[in-house]
Amino acid sequence: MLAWLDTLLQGTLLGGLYALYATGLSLIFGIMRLVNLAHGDLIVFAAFMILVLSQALGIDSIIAFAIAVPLMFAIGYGLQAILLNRTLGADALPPLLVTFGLSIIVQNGLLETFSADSRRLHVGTLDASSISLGGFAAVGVMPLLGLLAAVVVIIALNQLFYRTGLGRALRATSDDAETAQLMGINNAHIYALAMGLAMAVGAVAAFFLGARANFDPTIGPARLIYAFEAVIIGGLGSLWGTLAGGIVVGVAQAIGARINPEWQILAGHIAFLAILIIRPRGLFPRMAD
Amino acid sequence: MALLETRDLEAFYGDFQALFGVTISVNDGETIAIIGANGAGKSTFLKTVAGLLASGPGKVGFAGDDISGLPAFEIARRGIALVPEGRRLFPSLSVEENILVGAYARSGQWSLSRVYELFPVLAQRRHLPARSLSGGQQQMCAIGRALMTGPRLLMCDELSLGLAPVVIHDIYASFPAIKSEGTSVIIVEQDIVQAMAVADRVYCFQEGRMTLTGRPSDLTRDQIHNAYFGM
Amino acid sequence: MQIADPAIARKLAAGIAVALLGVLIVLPLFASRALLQDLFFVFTMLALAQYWNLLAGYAGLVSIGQQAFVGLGAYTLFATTIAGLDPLPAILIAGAVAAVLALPTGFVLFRLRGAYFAIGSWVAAEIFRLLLAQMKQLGGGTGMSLGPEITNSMAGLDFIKSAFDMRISAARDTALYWLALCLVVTTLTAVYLLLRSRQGLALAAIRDSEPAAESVGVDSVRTKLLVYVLAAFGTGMVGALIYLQKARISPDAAFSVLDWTAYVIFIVIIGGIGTIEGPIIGAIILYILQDQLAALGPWYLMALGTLAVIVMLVAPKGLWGVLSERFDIQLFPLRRQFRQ
Repeated sequence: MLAWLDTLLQGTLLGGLYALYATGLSLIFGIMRLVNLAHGDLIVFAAFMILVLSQALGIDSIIAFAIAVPLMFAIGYGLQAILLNRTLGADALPPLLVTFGLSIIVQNGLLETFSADSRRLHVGTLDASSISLGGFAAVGVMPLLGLLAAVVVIIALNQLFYRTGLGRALRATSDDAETAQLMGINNAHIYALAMGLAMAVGAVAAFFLGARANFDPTIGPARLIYAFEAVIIGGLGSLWGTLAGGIVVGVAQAIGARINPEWQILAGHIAFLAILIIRPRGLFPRMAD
Repeated sequence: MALLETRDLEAFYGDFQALFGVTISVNDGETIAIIGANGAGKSTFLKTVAGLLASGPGKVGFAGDDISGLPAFEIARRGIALVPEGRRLFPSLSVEENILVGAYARSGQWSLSRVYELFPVLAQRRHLPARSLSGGQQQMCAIGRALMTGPRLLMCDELSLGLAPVVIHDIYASFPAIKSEGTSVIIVEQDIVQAMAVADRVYCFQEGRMTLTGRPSDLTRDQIHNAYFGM
Repeated sequence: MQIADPAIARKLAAGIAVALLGVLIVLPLFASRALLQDLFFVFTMLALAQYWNLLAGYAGLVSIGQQAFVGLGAYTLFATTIAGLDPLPAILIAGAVAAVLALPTGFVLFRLRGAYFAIGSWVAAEIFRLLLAQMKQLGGGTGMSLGPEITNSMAGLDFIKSAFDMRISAARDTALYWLALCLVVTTLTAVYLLLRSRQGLALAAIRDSEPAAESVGVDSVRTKLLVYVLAAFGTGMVGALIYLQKARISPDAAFSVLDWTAYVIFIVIIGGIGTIEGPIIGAIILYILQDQLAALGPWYLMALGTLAVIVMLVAPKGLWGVLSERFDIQLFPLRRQFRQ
């Protein structure tokens, strides 16, 4: 019994990380109906960025992470402004195919630069330490912080969207981009800001990814898939839903792993499939398609 | 010098030409009405001035600057506000949020409280989603949203469309307060009586061309009829 | 430049095509093994591209999971031939199995739209990959090989061996080459006929506007499902043929996104999406690039990715789109006209 509670706990913590992957994806889709197929690869890119900053400047990963967040924001802004804004329009093909091409470019760029070796981010002693919960289970500090980070990020984004003028402008543009222009809102700039935000969140995800497990240039697509599953399970249009979706995937994977380690990923896919069949709009849908 | 001047303005929807050489001027503080049958190009004209449609080879001058070809958000920031046909409120925003978003890039003499003074019914529903308002209330909300941009020129596209006469009357009752700020106004209206009652000058469009202009008091019914229908 | 008389141009093109086909058929009698293998690659990739193009360019279904059917077809071939079936009919069975599995897959996936459908199709492929990796009888995660007792016993091989006085390995190459040629010609014909049919008209309508198509009575779900299953059938057969040639399979290889989706997408984008001619050009270009640059490893892939992005932004209709518009030609005429 306790073993299963432990599984649930580990799955929830894993889900926090998946929610971090998914939040950026959810944000972008909500505001501009764009799905960035390079999303996972860009998170891996951010992880390498933290690694390089940390090694090159001789600083702790945490500080490198703090630098990486605004850097990734700028990269996201630039990516949208220079490349992705050109793909937006009535046709669904260009953004899909361009971001697919981008995914190949980023993955192979990382492979060429860093080789296929596994890396890890070291966060002082934190990445190995754990907190014991009443003696029956141990919770890794980094995974716990990852879940907390997901919650904090979602709260912060919701504050942005519902309590600020910029948030209003973001939601208005998402509703009706043409009329938003009549309010003096520059759509191109708004979209670039949104992508910048998504990449900044991606940097947070990258930090907790790298601190918790090994990473290499090829793991991007799998992150995209987990993020995507979390978004679909949670339901489009709700960031808290995305968190719930992430936890569902995490718990499903943990349960699968407990039954047979080879079944971890498949279990997540099965959970996704089940939701898709039984509740196609997800658990907490908010948006009209 | 006029506040807004268009010269030989043209507009196209793909290959279809909707405006032919439209030359119009609006002076500071004036209220202009544009009347004409469906498809005459009235809304197209407003959208072209607002920058939502490409202006072709013609020119648009505003407050002495050439604004032809500028993107819509840039034109909005210079002080031209459009209340679009069909209101087009932001459905996922509340009434209050809709009004506030108008002030995102530019603001002026109008504040949230002043808009609520003008349209008290909006204050009562401030936190409701905008799509829950009735047609007339949505129109008021759209006007309030446009006023929040602090416009020098307010353009209203088909305010009375789909609304009951009483409601139309209430909406137009807000015009004196708007005009008292010195704001210039262009209204596109199918309700000729209402248009003539509130306008200083009238333009009539027919099939993309301007066919008649003058002061309401100077125009006869026959003149208007001919200009409207071209028969 | 305008072609003076389109009818003559078409007859000319048809004549050239027939002559070309003739050359291709007799090629094994005097071509090197390397050339046959290269053409095998071009034909099979072209066939895969035609099916992907049918889905994405005509039905508006962008799938990044077609590798599911390559893998399913390939594994079905391995499973049935090991059980004793001759490889030739096994290829057809492989296509059928892929098509049957495509039915429930498509049904579930159609709940997703646009980009979400794309990723969902990838997840579906991953599910099949992970399931097959669990099957120890088919080699599990490490995979398995097809022994020569199977690959050399294919129907028709003995005939070829004696008729053309070849060694068994050359006969195998010849047979596989002819099968690939047959498959790609059948694919091109089938796709062309489909697009000219009423279903093809329905597809064009769905691609342009699904709600509008539905409003005139097109059952979009049924039409899309039909195309999806058809594409799976073809893709499954090609997958079976490819792995019959390789004679070695593993889940990661048979369900590889890079080999069976990324390269296919490049072919279609660079050649020209939404046309039958486009992928033909694209396949030839990919072959040339692959031949010259594959040794560069990641740089090669980065270059392909960049090329695809640039083409998508600058010339979204691909190379064939540019040529076809400039010279106003269609090799596979699909424009419908009024008869006065």
